[in-house]
Amino acid sequence: MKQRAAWLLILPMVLWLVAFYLLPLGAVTLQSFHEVTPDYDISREWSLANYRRAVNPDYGPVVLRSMRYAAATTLWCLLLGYPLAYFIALHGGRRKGFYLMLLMLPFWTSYLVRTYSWMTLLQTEGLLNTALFVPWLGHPVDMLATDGAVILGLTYGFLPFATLPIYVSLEKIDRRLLEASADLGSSPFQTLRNVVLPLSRPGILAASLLTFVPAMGDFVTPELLGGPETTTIGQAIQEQYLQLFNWPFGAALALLLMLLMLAGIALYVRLSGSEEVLA
Amino acid sequence: MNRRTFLILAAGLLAGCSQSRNTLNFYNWANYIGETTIPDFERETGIRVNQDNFSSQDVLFAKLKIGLEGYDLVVATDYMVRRLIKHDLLMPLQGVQGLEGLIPRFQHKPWDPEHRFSVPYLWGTTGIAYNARYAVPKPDSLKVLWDPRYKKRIGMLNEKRDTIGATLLMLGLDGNSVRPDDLARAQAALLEQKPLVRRYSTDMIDDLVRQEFHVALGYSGDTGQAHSSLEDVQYTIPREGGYVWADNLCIPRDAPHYEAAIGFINYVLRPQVAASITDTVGYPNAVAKARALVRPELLDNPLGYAPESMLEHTIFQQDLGAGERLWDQVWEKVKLQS
Repeated sequence: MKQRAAWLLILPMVLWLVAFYLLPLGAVTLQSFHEVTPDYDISREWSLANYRRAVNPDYGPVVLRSMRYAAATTLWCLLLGYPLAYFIALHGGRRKGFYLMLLMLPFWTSYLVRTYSWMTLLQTEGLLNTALFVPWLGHPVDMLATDGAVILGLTYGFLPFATLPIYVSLEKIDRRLLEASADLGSSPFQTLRNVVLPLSRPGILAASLLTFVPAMGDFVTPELLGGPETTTIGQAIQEQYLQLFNWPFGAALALLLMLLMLAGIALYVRLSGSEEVLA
Repeated sequence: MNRRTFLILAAGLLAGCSQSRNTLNFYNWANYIGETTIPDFERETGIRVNQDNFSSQDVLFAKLKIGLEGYDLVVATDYMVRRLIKHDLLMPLQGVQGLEGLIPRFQHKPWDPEHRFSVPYLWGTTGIAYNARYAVPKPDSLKVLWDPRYKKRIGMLNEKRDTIGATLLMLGLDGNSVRPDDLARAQAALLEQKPLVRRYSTDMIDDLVRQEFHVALGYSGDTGQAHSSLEDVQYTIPREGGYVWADNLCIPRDAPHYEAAIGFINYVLRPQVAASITDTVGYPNAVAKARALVRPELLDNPLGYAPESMLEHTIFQQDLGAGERLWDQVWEKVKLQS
């Protein structure tokens, strides 16, 4: 009886996953083994042509670039998010809830609108140039359409996703351990390094995954803040779907990206011994 | 910049649109309608208009080809009209009035000689937009878009027909070529140009006004809109030639509100309505009688009604047929490689 109640509870979730995750994924997988006919229809024959084409040398640099962006974004998010989470968790006091709300505040506005405002800040005639660089250096600095702009945009977008899991893991730490560490003669830095950091490792690992994975597939940010030389794999896939009308090839690219990410995550979990994070 | 925003939001939005009888779902370029055109139409007919914007003709094709239902009226460029007809994606127009009042240049074109499926909405040219303050001397050749002096200040259209086509024209080749040799040369030229390009964008009004672009492959009317904000922004049709095109109103095969769409077509063919659209967007319309009603500065002006002498060395964009795939391949390479 108990068993059946548990099944009923997860049933909606299972139905949801089947309808909106497994079925589309299955459709995409099937589609990736077809081709587009010269008439822009999808062929009935099965073929591996899309996969053969996807491993051509054009896509290597694009994937590497996307990885570079995702890695830099993850690093920046950790560097900025960790102190932020540390402050809220250990020094937030009664204002904790308020600080957390501030952290979530950006979500009240669309991501696109927020990214557009970065465009207006960074462009040649934008605020940063007119208020800072032109008076200071005498000429505007080109910021849009650079790697830096894309990484900045991604970091900005994913910072809350990195901060929250770190916050949760810091919050869980028993404060008496910190006191014990101090009593045993540790400096605050030693306490941070030997006690706080190891204990918050699950949060750091979760934050890394939550940042790296979506940053790797993102196409909106490089589309808006990037230029011709910042094409990411997400943009390449989107281009196949919408501009070139080659859904089967886009599907193959998307699936290969997914496999690559799964392999990467498996390796990461293995190496970092963080099975418990995902468990 | 609105086009891209809308593109991304569009897919989800349309599904949610109400499907009541008194609705018209209009799929159009961004910034491509008069200021009061839609509210006036709504007031007159009681029909609610939902406007949705695409970022390129390829996106329009993709949406209709996959059978996305819900659009009642779409804006398709000449060659796209032909392509949509060939793929059986359009519905014949019945009850359109005022076709005889169209400018002869846009009447009875090869892609739809009897206007069975399309009515010209607005027209313009593809040429060189430039900022007179930085682009000295005044550009007159497409080669300026390959000039390293404008490194990272060059804008190109994110529309393969215009960008690859203009490259063919720059090389002295046919702007509708489907010869593999010609396209290979165009591809090489575009890849060579890529490090100089600031951005591929179909919506460059902002980029021109904010001086992100100093020279660009642009559309006449968009450049005109930029010119009204910043006088330095100018436009010319290069000596190698440019494209003259019309964007046409068409009804998709599965349009749920056919009558409303026909009503809207007849509405925008009224000279006063056509003229007010032109006054807002700067693109001339194809209604002959509207010419006398538009802002006078748009007449005999390359940004608006280009003088005949300028249109002489422009060509129409033709349907590429099976050659489309070749253009797609070039485009894919150009966008991907760096």
